[in-house]
Amino acid sequence: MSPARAVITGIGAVTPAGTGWKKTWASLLEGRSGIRPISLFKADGYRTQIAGEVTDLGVPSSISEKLMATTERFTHFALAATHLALEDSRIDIPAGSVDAGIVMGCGMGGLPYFELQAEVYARKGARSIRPGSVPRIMPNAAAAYMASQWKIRGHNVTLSTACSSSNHAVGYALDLIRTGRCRVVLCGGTESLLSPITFGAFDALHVMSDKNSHPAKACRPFDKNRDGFVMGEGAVIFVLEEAGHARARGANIYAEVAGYGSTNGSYNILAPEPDGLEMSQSMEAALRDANVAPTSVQYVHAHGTGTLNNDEAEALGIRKTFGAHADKLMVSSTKPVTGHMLGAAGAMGILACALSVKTGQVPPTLNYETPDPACLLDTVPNKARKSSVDVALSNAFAFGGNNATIVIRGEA
Amino acid sequence: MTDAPRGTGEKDVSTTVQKIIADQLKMKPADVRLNALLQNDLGVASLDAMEIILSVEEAFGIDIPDEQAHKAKTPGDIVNFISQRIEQSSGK
Repeated sequence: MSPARAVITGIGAVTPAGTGWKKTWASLLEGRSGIRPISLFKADGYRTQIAGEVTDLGVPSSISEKLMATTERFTHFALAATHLALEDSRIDIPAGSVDAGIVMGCGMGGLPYFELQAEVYARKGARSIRPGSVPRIMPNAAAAYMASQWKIRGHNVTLSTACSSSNHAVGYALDLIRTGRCRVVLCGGTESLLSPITFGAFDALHVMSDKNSHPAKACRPFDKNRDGFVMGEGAVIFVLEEAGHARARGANIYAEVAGYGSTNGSYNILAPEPDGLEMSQSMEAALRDANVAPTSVQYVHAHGTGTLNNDEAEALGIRKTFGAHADKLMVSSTKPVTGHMLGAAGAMGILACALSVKTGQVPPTLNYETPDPACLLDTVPNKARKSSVDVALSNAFAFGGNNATIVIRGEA
Repeated sequence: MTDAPRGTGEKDVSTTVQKIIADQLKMKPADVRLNALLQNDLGVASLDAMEIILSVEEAFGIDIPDEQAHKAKTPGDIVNFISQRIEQSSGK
């Protein structure tokens, strides 16, 4: 008997490109960048002073004021995105269900609150640290509050592999459905790290663009003049459902999550192997898992951060995986619009793939102006393209040499 | 939680304690009755209780031992404890 298949029946998005998948998708297609000067803290002294901030978080009335007041921004995003995904899916998950689960990706959780408590400690001493700190800071706080809000009592796991976290989350959710452990899984990623010290730690690595005077132009994946990524924040959450269950209730199906692959470069904590081998192996593993030939793929949502190292290695990895077919592939990155959403970045790419498959429109790579001979691909430059997509790949690669790829397929 | 200067009269103590509890629970201070049960009537969870005790300690500059904190069943219990400590420290 073949394993159960998993389909996306609901999408919730809270991103710098807009709240709700429709707003985010419209911004991606129209190339409306959400990158601005940072407003969440005073960023004057930093090398990089721009980011993608969520500016229109709509808090659902079902989320209490107390819950908002005792949780952090990354949890707020997850709660709002979950509400949107469930509403979109029109699924009724009975309270107390143990065959419903949650798998979230989150890189660092509530470090911004940790920073506040570090300041309290320095000013007032150890006994003034707030008792509520741990459940605010822990990366699985978002998933825990999702479970308690919607009374979901099955598997609840948070995976933390930096920028690949939410691809792993969706892959893990796929496995839960394939093995029959869950019939429905809320899965995706959430992150919000725009605070003085956490942002400053990335700033100190010199991995972010310093094109502060042109925020919307700063992130330039695969462009010769790229100089780093731009940080974003937000959450993207899917209702992933066993296909038969979804069909039986007449659900709107966006796409199938058809495969999951992962590798670990074991090369360098901060840089990919320059030849792209570890990335290529991740893509190949995902294609094998989905039983899909490379030539069947039309679109790759690249990790495409806009850093020198990632984009060149990723382009080489794509060529290794697809060979001559690489010249026929559309490869784009939506990070110039949303910024790099870190623990939610993979889920953002999956959103782009699922909606490309569903709508036949492929989002562009904004700011692609000067081709780099080291990473020549059809990057769908600057303008969305109408094109039928049957199979798409979402890549997410992370510090720690951690790579994960998800295969998205049109629902037959 | 709240950095406003605190009075030390009985009424001031009550007002401050009610405001601290209301801030934690996101309710109106007037709804925090002094004889309400913290857990059953006001819905104070264990973590809320720890946050409230820390805020009270900071507001009045006193330590509340864990065993004393566990004995408090109502806002009034907290007010009484603080008032007694203030009286003791002022030598009344």
